[in-house]
Amino acid sequence: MSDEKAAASAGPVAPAPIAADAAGGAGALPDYAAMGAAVRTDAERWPTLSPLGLDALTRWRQTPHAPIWVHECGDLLTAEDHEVLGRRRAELLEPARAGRGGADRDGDDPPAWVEALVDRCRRHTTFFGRLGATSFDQLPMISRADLVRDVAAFVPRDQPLDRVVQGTSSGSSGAALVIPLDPVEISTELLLLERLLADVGVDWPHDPDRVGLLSVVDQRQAFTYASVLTIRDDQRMARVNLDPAAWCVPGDRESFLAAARPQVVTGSALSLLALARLDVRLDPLALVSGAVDLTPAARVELEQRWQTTVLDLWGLKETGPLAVSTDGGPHVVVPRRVHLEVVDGGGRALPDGECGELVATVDGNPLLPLLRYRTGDTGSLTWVGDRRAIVGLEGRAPVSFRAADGRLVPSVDLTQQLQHHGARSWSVHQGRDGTVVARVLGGQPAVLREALCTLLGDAVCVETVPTPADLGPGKPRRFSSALDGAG
Amino acid sequence: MTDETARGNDPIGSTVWEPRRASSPGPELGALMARLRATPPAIVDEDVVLEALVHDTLDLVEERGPGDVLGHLDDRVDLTLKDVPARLAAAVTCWLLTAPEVVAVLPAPRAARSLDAIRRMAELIAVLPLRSWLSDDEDRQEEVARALLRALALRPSGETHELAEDRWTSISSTTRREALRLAAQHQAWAEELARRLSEEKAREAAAQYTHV
Repeated sequence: MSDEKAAASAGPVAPAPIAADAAGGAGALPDYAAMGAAVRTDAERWPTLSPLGLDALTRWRQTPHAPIWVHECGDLLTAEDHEVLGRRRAELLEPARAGRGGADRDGDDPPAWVEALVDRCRRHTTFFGRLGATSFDQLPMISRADLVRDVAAFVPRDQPLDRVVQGTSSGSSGAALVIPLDPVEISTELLLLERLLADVGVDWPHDPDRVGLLSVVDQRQAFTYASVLTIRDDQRMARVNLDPAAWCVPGDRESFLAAARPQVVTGSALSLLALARLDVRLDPLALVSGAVDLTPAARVELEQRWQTTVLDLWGLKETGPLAVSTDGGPHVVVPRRVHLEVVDGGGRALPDGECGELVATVDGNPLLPLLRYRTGDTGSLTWVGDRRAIVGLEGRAPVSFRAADGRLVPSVDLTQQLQHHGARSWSVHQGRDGTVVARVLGGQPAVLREALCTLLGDAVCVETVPTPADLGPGKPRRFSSALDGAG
Repeated sequence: MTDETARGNDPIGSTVWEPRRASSPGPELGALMARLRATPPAIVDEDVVLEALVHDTLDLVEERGPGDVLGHLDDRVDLTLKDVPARLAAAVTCWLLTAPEVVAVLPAPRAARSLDAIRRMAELIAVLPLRSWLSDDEDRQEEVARALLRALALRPSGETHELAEDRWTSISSTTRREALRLAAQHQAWAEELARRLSEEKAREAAAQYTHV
């Protein structure tokens, strides 16, 4: 789950001040002074980067028309990590191994690695040790609330913590969740993208004249950074915010993007649509959408605008990528250790073809293996060839609000403010007349109202509620708008 | 280690081990152990709606009075909590509470005692995995049965209070030591993880590539 879907928080996926806000503008979140969270040296960020590579990185940071970078992030990969990733790349891209890693149609159900994971979690995690379960079918399902309550109970004690980095997600409950991430696993996502593109016939060469990967967001406040990909021969990458206020002068955004000519662009459906509507030529090899639903109309718009491949990648921050749709059809489980189930409201497993909540078992992040994890998203299971796939994936619907002056405000902007000012859970609805009613658990109503008014105008009403139950049963639909037709 | 120290070091805050000053005669221990062995799979099935099960249990052990039962539930047992092991323990406890042998001797106020027992047994599972409750290990079955009786301020039929307490101490000592060890281990691990995650370098994090 990304910050587009959810919210901002501390860490690299968190927001930082846009230019105006950095100068003290309305709605600035003081936690995120530019570069305030960047503490490592470049040698620590890119342990294997050569002096030549460092020179190139310096030029990249200072490239003409660059946005106001507000953070620094490297890949943290050591020489040993490169060896591990080299082997993973060979495994992922070797044609003979295509299709392995997840559930195979003719394989065991659940796959053998699932039972091995149960055994490992029983021996090394507090949560599963307490349960004492010895087989997958004895396990109850777990949810995000379990992680929020005590994430350490799910982190295997046999794992070293000396290289742990933060990942954050706010999720549907509104309570921020900090999870431990592993640098090698993060970079494995790049290899996964190479494989997914290869599967649809897209070659992604290490072209030094082009930016290898551009991650785009479009929100009021966001971390942005210039970086390099050492597993792609030090090719450049960046995370940029399309919000006009994130750039020094008008026109910089388009000039920067055109010069970068990113090969692969990742973002949410909303930020990718915002990019598509800019007057700029990019010639991307592929777009990778995530975080929120990519509607058929949005897919068509992106495909027609760029005449290129569009992948819709589904997953959560907690689980990593789970499934991908390359053509608007079913989301096929990606080639990593992913086992999916579909359950009804009572937690009963449903047969293929019946729609219910998707429950994921993943063994990717060594610091957070997850067994029978409720995703909160829905769909039904099927097979595409010998691969597990999801039909009718839903649950990531993006919501935009309309401000009094007509601007569209993505829900992530509201999440940032609500979370920053102490709200723990909420349900925010905009009526047809534009009035916004926020029902909130935690925080001061007057302060929250003022924060929301800076985004939306004066027609905001904030009510506090005493318990999460007052926000409604099940997964709270935190944002809804009768005026939401954007995107 | 004294009881006080033990509890002080025990982050689960368990009340399972608290000494009982008095108890009333209860059912045969063997009957309760047999009831435990006969726990229907449906009780520990995920389909069980715990709230409904608790209400049914209260209906069985006591005519529902004019009091606000739901209010009791909210006060005494956090039934909205998502702690799966605790919910399973509560479900099994409901099954044991409705044994005719238990209902027959349960002192008043029955609903309050039952809810208290559910809470205490939900704590027991933190240190004694559900699998061992339902295993063939008779010592563990006896431990669960004695834990429930103590939670209800009862003692096995035919035992004095002092004898019952002695036997409880004896049979639960291994679990108790293990509980303290596991709790301390987890607390240290959780503190280490929190410390590592809050370090500035961890917060700077690594570049992210996808938007899942």
